[in-house]
Amino acid sequence: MGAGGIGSFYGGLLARAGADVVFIARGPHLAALRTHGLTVLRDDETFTVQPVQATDDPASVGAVALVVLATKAYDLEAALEALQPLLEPETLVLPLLNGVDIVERVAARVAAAQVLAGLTYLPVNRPRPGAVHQPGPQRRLILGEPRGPATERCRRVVQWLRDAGIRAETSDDMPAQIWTKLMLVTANGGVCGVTGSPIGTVLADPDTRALYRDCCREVEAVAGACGVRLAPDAVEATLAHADSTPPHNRPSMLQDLEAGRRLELDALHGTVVRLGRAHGVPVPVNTFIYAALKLRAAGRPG
Amino acid sequence: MRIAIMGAGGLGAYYGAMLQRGGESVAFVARGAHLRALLSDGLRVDSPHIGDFHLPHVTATDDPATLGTMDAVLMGVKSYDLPAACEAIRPLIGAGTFVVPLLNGVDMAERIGAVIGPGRALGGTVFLSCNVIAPGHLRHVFNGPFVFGELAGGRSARADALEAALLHAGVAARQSEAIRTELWRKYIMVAALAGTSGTTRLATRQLMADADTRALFVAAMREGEALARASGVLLEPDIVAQHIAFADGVSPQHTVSLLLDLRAGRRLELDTFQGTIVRLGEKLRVATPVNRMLYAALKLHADGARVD
Repeated sequence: MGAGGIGSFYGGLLARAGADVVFIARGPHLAALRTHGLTVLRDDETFTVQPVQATDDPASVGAVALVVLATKAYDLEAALEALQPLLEPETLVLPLLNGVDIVERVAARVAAAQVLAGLTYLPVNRPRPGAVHQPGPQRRLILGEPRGPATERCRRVVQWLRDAGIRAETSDDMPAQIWTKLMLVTANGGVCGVTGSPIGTVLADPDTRALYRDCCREVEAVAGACGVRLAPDAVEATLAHADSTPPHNRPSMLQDLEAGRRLELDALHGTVVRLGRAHGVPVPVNTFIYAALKLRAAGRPG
Repeated sequence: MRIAIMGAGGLGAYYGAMLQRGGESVAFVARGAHLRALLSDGLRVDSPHIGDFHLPHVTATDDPATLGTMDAVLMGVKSYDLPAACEAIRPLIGAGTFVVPLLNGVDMAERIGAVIGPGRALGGTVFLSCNVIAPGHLRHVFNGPFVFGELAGGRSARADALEAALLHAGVAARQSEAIRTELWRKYIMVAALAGTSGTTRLATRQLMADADTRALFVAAMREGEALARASGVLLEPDIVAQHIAFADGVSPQHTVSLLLDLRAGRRLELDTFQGTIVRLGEKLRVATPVNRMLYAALKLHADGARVD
C-alpha cells in the first residue's frame, strides 16, 4: 500500500520470490507497473517482475494476509481509509512510515491487535515510473510488537520477508527502534534541508556537524521524556551511521525541497517540537529547523 | 573637498555622483564593465526622489596610485573585499585623510582603522538604497540618510566638513555624536533579517507573517541587542519593537540582499552578520544560539553556491 520507492522495492523482491503481491499505486508509476512491470536496480543486479498485480483500487483486491504500509506520513489517513477492503480479522498491518505516532494513527482505523510496528533504513530512489533503485548494501527492516517483545507472528513475517531476500529482523523494543530511526531522519533531513547540502558536506564542517549532533541529542532527550530509553550510544551510533552513508547522498527531505515537493516536516521536527514543549524539554535546534522549513513544507504550488 | 569613492557599487557611485554634482572633486575607483562605462559615458542616475541626472565626465580608475592623496575616502566595497580595499587605498592617504565606510556591520571602522591607522576611520551607516542597473547607470530606490561620526563620540571638524559637503550637494546626511549606538541600532535588525530571510528563503513580509519565522527573527535580534549591551552600547528599551514595526511595514517586495545573493550563487556577507555575532558572543560571553544556527545553516553557501 503506497508503492513508492520502499514499497516497490520490497514488493518487487517478494513478487520475484513467488509471493502473491499486489501493488497499490497511483499515477505514472501505476501506469508503468501495468504496462512494463516493475524494474529493481541494485548495485549487483537488475531484475524486472512482469506482469505485476497493480491497482489504485483496494476494493478490487479483497482481503489479504499482510498489508505493508509505505506511504508518506501525511498520506497515512487517506491510505487507511482506502485500505479497509483489504482487511479481515487475521490481516496484519505493518507500517514502515517515519514518525513516532504511526502505530496509534493506524490503530485508529485498524483493530489494534492487527497492527505491528515497523521501520526501514533502506534508502531507495525512483529513477523513473515503474523502476526503483536501491544503492549500496541493503539496510535493515525492523519489525515487532508495538509494545513488548517480538511474538511468534513477528518472527513468521520476518521469515517470510527473509525468504524473499529482504534483510528483516525482529526487535523486542520497537519504541526505542522507532525513536532511534526518528533521530536519524530528523537530523539527516533537517540539517541537510536547512543547509541545502548533501550529508557528507554537512558532516565534514564542524559547525553543521555540531548542529547535526545537537539535533540528535534533542531527539534523545524527548524520547527519554516520553519514557523511551534509547541505547546509551544512540547519538554516536546515528552519527556513525550517517558517516557511513555515501557523502553525496541527499536525504529525501532535501530532494523534496529541491523538487518543490511536500515535506514530512510535521511527522519529524514538528513532532519533536510538540513533544518537547509538552514535556518541558528544550528543543532549540528542532524549533529552528521547523521554522526554517515550515513555509516550504507544503511544496511549491503547481 | 577631494573625495575618492572606493568600490563604486550602487551606494558609492550614488554619493560620488551627488558630491561631484555639488561641486566637489570626486574620483571613482572601480573595475570591469562599470569602469569602462564610467570612462566612456560618465555616470547616469535615475531618481524619483531628486530627479534624473547625467554626469558626462567623471574621473575613474582601477589604480588608486594614479589619483594622489584625498581629503576623504568613502568605502563602498562589499565587506569580504574590505581587507584588499584597505590595502589598495594606501596611496590615497595623506596627513589629514579620513575614511568613512558605507558598509553594513558594527566593526567596519575598526577593521579599516586596523589597516590604515585607527584615527583615520569614522563610523558610517547608510539608510539609502541605490542599485547599479547597468554599467554606469544607477537607480536610486530609497532615499534614507547617510549617518556618520567619530567613533569616540562628539563632533569634529573633519566630520563637519564632510557633512557640509554632503548637505550642499543635496544628500540626505547627518553627523552623529553617537555613531556606535546608531551602528548597533541598525545592525541588530539588518543582521537578524539577513540571517533569517536567508535561511528560510523568505521575503521580509512573508517572514513576518508566520508566527514561527517571526519568532526566529525576533530571537536573533534579541541576541544582537544583548551583544550591544555587552559592548557598552545602550539602545532604547523598545528597540526590538521598533524594528519589528519597521519589518512589518516594508513593501511586499522587500527582500534582503543576502537572500538575493544566495539565490544568485554570489558570495554572502555572512561574516559581517552571523559570523561577527557568533565571534563577538564568544568574546563577550553572550549566548548567541540562534545566530549560531543561522550561521551553520548558511555558511556552506557563504562563498557562493546557488540554492533553490
